[in-house]
Amino acid sequence: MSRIDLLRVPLLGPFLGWRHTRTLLQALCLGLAVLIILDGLFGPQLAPRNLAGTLPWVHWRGFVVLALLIAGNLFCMACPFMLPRRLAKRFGPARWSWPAPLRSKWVAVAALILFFWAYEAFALWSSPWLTAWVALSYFALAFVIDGFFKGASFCRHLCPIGQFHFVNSMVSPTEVAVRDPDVCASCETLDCIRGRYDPETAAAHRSKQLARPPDAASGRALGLEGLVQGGCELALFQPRKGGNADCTFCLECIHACPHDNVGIVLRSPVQELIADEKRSGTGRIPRRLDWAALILLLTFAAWVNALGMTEPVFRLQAWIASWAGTGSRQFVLALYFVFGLIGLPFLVTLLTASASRALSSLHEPLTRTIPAYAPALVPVGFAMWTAHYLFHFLVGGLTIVPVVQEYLRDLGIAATGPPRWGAGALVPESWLLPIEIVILQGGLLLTLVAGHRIASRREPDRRSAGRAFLPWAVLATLLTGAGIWLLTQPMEMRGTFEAL
Amino acid sequence: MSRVALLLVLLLLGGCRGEAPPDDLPVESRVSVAPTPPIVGPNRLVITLTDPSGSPQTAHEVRVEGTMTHAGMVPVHANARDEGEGRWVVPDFEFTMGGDWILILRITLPGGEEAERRHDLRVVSSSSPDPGGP
Repeated sequence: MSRIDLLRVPLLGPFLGWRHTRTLLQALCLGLAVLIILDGLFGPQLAPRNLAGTLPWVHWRGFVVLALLIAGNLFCMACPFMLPRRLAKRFGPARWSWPAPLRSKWVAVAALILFFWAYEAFALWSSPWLTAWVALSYFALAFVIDGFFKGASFCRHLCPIGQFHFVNSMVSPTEVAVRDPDVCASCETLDCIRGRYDPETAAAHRSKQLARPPDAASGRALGLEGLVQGGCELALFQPRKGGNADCTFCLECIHACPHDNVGIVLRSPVQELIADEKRSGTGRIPRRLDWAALILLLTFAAWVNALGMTEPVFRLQAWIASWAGTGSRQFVLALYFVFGLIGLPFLVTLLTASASRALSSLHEPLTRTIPAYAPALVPVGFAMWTAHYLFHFLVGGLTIVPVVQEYLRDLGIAATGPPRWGAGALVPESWLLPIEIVILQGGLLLTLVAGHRIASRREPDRRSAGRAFLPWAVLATLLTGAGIWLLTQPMEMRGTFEAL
Repeated sequence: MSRVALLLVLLLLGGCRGEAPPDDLPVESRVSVAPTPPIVGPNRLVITLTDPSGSPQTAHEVRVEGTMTHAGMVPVHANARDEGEGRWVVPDFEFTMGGDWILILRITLPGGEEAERRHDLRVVSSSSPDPGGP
């Protein structure tokens, strides 16, 4: 049965297939980023009155989880940080390969932990000025790193936001995929990864007998100008790509394929979680410890981050401060995050994997068991992120209206009238908890399905699969129960005043 | 060139909007909240206005805005009632969420000048005691 291809849907298909769609979306996001930076640096420093306090922390996060939930990795596609990168690629050397020891997700894991800590330790959500500097730093980092290193090194190896998208888009209902594998089997040009050069340059490639096709920068270094269309910026070879992991939805492969054989297809949300084949770019994710660490970090961070809004966590932090004998908020939060994002996931996963292995018929090291099942936890973690971010978005989605009105009024544009400060919620408050619980339960269901399918693939029989799957099912159920408990706690937002 | 011009325009526009400079009007304010610590739900605010010498400061109007330190929550607005001798009261100021709040007092003086004063306070969920802090 042929899969539904969004590129063949009227209106939507031509828009997505248009060569400049990504640039248009990036330009729009770049415009918003510029406004956020300007207002963050120069505007009123009260977060609810500032575009930098409102747009990134209420709206952008809400739209990100919605996009991942109902479409795919649209926010990497529209990433504004990549527009200046194009300049960096044009004028910078961009000849170096990313250092081999760092070609994994470990640097990104460290960057994510640092980001989660900094978010709380410096109360980024309450400081438009700091938010603006985070955005500026992001632009600078992407520009410098991709100005020196080939391809999309920043996206793949470093960007914390990108890792969030990569992992959670593993349950998105769409992926960029080959339409007909037989067409790829007979393809000789491999433009989806090499890019498409004009005929003269293509002949030069052949004459130089290049072992690997050059990307744009390397091509220039070899005197091979004439790239007409770039290939995949993350070097994912379409016929062996298989999923959204590390896919930025740049759609270059779609434009590059001379056979019109790449589409954006609908798929099952567990398809990628249970796959075990070797994929281009990522290898076998269920065998990679760095990917497992990334998935587990993002899963547990969903709880640690949301817990930061509840009263019990303030008691815990006060206890840590007393235990450590310090009044330093940054230090206390560092201890809290080391425990919540490293110690707790490590211990819980170790216990779960040990139980799973003990009940399983397989005799393997835990370093095989953990990566094998880690992808199954993506839905339950994503559900918690979604419930949390949607809470903010649904409670405060309309608060952007008065902020924009005031912004325009301050610029002397009074056409929108006086700011309507009463605008706030997108749905009645009584809807919030039921929506959040449905999302959490949906995540649990997908995790249970994926976990069972993984166990069935690995174990020799159904009984053994059921036993091996059981500890992971218990973990997912406990996490979901903890999520429901957490969401029923009175929400608080502290941390902006000095004392703990 | 046009991109540079656009950037300059945006920078200029951004620069036009900024934090209002603090006024130097001779009014000081103190806020007390009951219950203490303030809770989610209705609270009684008592605002005391004085001049720099500590004598009661009369005012024409006192408007109160409560806003959280993070975005996404609707601010709470109320007009305070004059009880004389520089004392203004909001009998049921409704904090909608626990956490860090900023009370912005907009004080219209008899001469028509408007002073703005801010106070930080921490609101706790009504079911939980305050673990400490401001």
